Amino acid sequence: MLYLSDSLVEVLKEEFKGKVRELPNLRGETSLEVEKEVLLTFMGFLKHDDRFKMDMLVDLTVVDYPDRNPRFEVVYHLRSLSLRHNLRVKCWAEGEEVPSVVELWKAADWLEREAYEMFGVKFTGRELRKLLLPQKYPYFPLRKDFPLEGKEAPCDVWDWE
Amino acid sequence: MEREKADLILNMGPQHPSTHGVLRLILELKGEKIVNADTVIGYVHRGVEKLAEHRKYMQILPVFDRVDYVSANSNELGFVLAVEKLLGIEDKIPRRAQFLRVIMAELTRISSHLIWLGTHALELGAMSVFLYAFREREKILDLFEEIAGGRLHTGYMRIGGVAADTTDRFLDELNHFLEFFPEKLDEYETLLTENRIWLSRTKGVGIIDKETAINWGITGPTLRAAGCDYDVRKYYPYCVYDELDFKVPVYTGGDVYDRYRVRMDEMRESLKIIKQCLERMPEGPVQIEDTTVILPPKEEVYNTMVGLIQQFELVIHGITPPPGEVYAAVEGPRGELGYYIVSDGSNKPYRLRIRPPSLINISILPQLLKGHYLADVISIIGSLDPLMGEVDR
Repeated sequence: MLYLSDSLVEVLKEEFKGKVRELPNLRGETSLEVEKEVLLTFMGFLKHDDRFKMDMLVDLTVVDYPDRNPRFEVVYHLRSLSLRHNLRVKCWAEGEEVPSVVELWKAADWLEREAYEMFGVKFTGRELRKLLLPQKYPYFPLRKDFPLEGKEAPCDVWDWE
Repeated sequence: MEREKADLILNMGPQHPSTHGVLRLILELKGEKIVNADTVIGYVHRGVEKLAEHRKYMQILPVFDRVDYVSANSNELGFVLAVEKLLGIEDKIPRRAQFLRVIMAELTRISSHLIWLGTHALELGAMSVFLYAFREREKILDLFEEIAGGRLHTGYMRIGGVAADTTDRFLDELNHFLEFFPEKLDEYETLLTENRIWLSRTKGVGIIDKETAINWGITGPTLRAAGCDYDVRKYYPYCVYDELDFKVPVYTGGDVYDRYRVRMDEMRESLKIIKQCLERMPEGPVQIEDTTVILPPKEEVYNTMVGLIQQFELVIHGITPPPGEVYAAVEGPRGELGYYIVSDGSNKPYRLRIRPPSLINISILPQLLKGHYLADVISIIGSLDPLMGEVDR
């Protein structure tokens, strides 16, 4: 899988000075960490700039680090189908909130809802109904402190309406 | 925009056969026209990502077999490729194993498309195609049983190779399958491709254009029917796909009919791929020669001390990849099936995320259904080929 070339990464670092940081990678997969306040502009730039053309949001997920602050790392996998390159963007969810990218990529619609119900990360600027679990389910099952065997939930939670 | 007022709210599914028993649609109808739609999913949510975080790498494989329960081999392949990438051993996998992986993945694609074809045609009223498609799928399951022991959940892929080499019977039966299956495909096409009822139920229904499809992250046959030639096997080849000669079927209509045609063409291409694999597959081992990755052969475990210790080490301590993260994907029957693994250097993944093609493909459903008639709902759901086990995970 091809990732952004070094020169393009430099372009991004130049454009968003001090707000974008390149992370060490294991197998040549470029990852960038972006400050929350520029996330939307950064993503918009990636999508619309001719050098990047990141037209597809491949995946959106969250990784939970309970010992860190901010605790949640939101991970976006982006791809340009015409230029055939990929990029991983990460953003720490401060106060458990990050801006929603659903205006840029509709694919984020369900993925953000899923990330919210599994981790409790809120995506601002949109409605976040639960997708896979009952609406009243009070816990976030993919958090590290949620036990594998689950937690007792009151009966009225299982009302699927 | 003002919401159009509905006359009737209709709950369709989860029991309706076309909704696969686990997808519920809430349709707001005005006459027979859908003015609004919503989906309720999650009936088979098992939390496999959570399960995976509590298992050693080798123990995860059977869990992922059951995510997309009709194409287990593709799921396994995606996962083992991701772990091999994490370990940095993807170049060391023996070539025979690579070819065998491709053969199994393509057989899986055919069997999955056959289920799709049979059930989709049945839902639209064509009973005989259903019976024929399942008859041929049974042959493929026999092949799986011969080589892997299991029919549905084969457990054939292993981190570092495949579980077992071929048998003579497997090769004979596979060759026989390659001979008779093209005729069967022609039979299905005779029944459907120019059938007037089929055409009127599928042509111009559920159109998704290219830009919309890409924006919604749709992959697989649905994207290719919309005119985009994206196929992981061509864009980011894995195993030996870059050495094989095959076409990626692309149509531009973006409707239910074109999705049908893409899948039919894909089955023919899969046959071509398997044929080439059989011709080019070299003799040799099918597992990596690294005992820190793959279990030693049973004779060594029973007869030598070294083998016993290696087995013990792997079963008790497991594989410990370096800290870091990788994303690897395969072209599953429904689209890009990706695995994102975050490793903290221990013998269990810190985070394991599956990128499920079905979930992302059907997220467009509420939008897509708007403006269509109730009868088209069945046609549209079927054409997206969602596998609810994969949607809910």
